[in-house]
Amino acid sequence: MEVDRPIAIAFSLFLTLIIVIFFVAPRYNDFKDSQLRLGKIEAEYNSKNDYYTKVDKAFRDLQAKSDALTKVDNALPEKPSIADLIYFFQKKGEENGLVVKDLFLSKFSAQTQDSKIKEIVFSLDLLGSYASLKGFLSNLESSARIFEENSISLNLTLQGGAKAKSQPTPLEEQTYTFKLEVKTHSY
Amino acid sequence: MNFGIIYKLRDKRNWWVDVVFYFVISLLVALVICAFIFSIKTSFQEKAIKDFNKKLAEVGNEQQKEAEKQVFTYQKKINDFAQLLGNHKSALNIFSFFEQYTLPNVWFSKFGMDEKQSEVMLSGESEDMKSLSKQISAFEAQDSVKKIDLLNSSVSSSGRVNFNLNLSLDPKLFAFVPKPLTPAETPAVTEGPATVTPSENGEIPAENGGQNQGATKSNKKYITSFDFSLDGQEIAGSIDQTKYTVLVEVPSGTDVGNLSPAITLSPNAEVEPASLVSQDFTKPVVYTVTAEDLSAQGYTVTVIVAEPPVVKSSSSKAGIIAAVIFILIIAGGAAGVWFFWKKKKKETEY
Repeated sequence: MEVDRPIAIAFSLFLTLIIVIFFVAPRYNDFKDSQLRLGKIEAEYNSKNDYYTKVDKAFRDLQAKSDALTKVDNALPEKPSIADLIYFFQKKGEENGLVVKDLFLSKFSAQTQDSKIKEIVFSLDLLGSYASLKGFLSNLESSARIFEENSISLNLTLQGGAKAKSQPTPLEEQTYTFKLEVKTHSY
Repeated sequence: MNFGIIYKLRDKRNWWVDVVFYFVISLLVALVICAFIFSIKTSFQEKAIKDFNKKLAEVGNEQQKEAEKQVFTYQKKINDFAQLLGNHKSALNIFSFFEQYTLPNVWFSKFGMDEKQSEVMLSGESEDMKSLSKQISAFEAQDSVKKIDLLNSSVSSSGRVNFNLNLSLDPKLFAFVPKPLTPAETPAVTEGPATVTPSENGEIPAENGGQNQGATKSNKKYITSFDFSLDGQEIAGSIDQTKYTVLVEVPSGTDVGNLSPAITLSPNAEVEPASLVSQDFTKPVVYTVTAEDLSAQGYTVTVIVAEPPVVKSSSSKAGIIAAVIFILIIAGGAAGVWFFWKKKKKETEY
């Protein structure tokens, strides 16, 4: 059977158009769409993978510096440990020859409104020599926790004062009353 | 409409009709193959997407998330610690100062220190007025002493001078500065919140010996502006100072592989990579800002390219043209079929 060429051409062109519109174009769009999605997901995977690689590396670095991290943990503990602090002040005062006459928690609140860090302020009344106070302050500063003295005042006691009237006694022999406001931090 | 030419084409066999015929058939076959290839490729890509989705689900597993949590917890903790250490004050400095500059014939009986005001109140006695005067001069000669007020002085019956002094001191005298912190040795992760700084050698000095006395240095390390200059147009980045991120949207068609940002920082801070140095922003870039006290903070800079504007008019024009061509072809095809059907009918009638 001979094909009627002009009609076949017209029909083929018509068919071509139909195929382009209903088959090729949608498949091309699907192809482009999936190509785009693949690119995005590949980028997402790569960036996530890079990110977690960095996290793993940072984690290993932190583990390698566990001693330093322990110091950070000690300096800024998760809990305020008020009882431990009171014991610490008593012990260090005693070790340095200071009598802890009075000790109370005067402030326990967040450092700033947005801050997670809490400020713990203790007021201490102490009795002892100037050298004892210096030893006590030195102990506070070399402690694993960060202590700071908001205010310090010292008064020569009457005994020492009386002596001082006639002839000032050597510094080591004088007895003072000290008032300290000591600040430390926790989460 | 003259359909005579179609009769002629039909009746008279022309070689180019064959060429056109085979070309059209080839085109048809090529289109079918194209559709097939697109389908195959799409299915491969869909498979690849599924694979990446599976891989994505595997990245960031429980263990990694736990590690991430710990890293960020310590990051925050170390930053807080560095900040506390940076602002740390020491009362022992004050005692050392007075021990150093107090004359032997002057005695103090009362001492009051207010760290916030950087003030010290002293009461005591001196051997004579001359000694007190010398003592005040000795304090005044020190740079750390900003101001001295002699509140009162009186000569006692023993001939000694009782006095009250108020000293305003330089706050630097109270300060401890931690060991320099170097971001280079720091485990730094940056996606949003970023960069941690332990100390120079990884040690965090908790002991007094690990702290250096000196001037207070700024710990401010902020990016205050992040701009690109593109074709004379300033594109400013949006800075999130809580997440430490910078987001910049550049116009469509911008080559983000080679952009030089202009960065401004907190006073005395430095940034690495430096300002106006070309960077590849096809991926997020981490800028590390180092403060004067050498503590550091990372900012993740992400540049996104704006979508090209959609030209509705041209797309609708193309749609209209396509529709017209489609209708013309349909109409031409229908007219041809009707014409040949009518002719065939006439031939059968004869």
